[in-house]
Amino acid sequence: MEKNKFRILVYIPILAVVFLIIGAMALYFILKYSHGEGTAFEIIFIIVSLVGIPLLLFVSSFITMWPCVEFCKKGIEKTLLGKKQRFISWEEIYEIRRINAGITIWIFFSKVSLEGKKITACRLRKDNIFVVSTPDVEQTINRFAPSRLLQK
Amino acid sequence: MYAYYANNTVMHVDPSGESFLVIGGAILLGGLIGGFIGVVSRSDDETVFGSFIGGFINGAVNTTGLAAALATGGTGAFLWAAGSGLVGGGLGSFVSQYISSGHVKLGLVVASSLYSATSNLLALYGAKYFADIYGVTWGEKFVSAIIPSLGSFVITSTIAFVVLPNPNRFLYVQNTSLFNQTKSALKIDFSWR
Repeated sequence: MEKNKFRILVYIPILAVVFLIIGAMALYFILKYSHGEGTAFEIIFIIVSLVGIPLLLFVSSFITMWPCVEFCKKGIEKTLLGKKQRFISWEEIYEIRRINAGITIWIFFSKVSLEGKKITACRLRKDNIFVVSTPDVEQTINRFAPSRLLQK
Repeated sequence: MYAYYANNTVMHVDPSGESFLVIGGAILLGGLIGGFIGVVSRSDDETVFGSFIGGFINGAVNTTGLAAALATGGTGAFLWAAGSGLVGGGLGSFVSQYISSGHVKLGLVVASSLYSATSNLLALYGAKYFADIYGVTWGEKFVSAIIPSLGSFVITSTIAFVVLPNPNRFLYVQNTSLFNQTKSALKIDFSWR
């Protein structure tokens, strides 16, 4: 059976967890080997930069990139931890838009035209589902998407 | 829509997982360059080994974060660049200081974190808006991943050698006889700037 369920971009939340673990360990050792020296500002800055920001990166990447996107004959469903977040039928999709972010290509299945919109604006919209392009994803799209969307 | 991919989306998409080996190579290269810069710009009281390992960690974390920033895109990319700079700079400074002297100055960790985060943000901005990097093939992805990192190294090196001394050098000059000084004497004096 061919795969039709994909995580949006699995590497980024994992990397965020790694950063968080490294940052927490570094914080522990930095405070241990500074022998209680340093001002309150320095300590707060180090806590925020080594744990606070990696935690923010993890939470944001977990919400936006960890969910699964499942393709079927009816449409596309997005789930996070097994809980349904969004479903868009193929009939509702206006276009499949690809945006190159640098080293990944993001595919947006949108109910409206995303012409001229930047990637952040596209991600914030509630009327689309997005996933990072891989050969498996592309083949799955070709298998399920109506020809009118593939020809656009 | 498919004109960008020469009308063949399957042949030009990211081969799942495999291109991340390319990114791994870029991270290793970034670490080695960071280690080299760490050694070249080390202070008199820093050991070669300590400055190399500290620089390697900083370079590898920065390159990883900048690759993640390029993968994420959008405004989130700048959060990744800054975050990796803060973590990489702080961790690199800690490791370098600890290996070299067994003691860690929080002021230097803060300075190195800010230093690294600023370099990353400038490098990412430059790469996105001036170099216009967009990788499609593996080679292009490798170049895309390493360009912001190289830019960050150039900015860091320029600041270290031309504009300001390396924060680590500044620390250890102040703390030549670290354990014989009083706590008040160990406070960093920024007035010279």
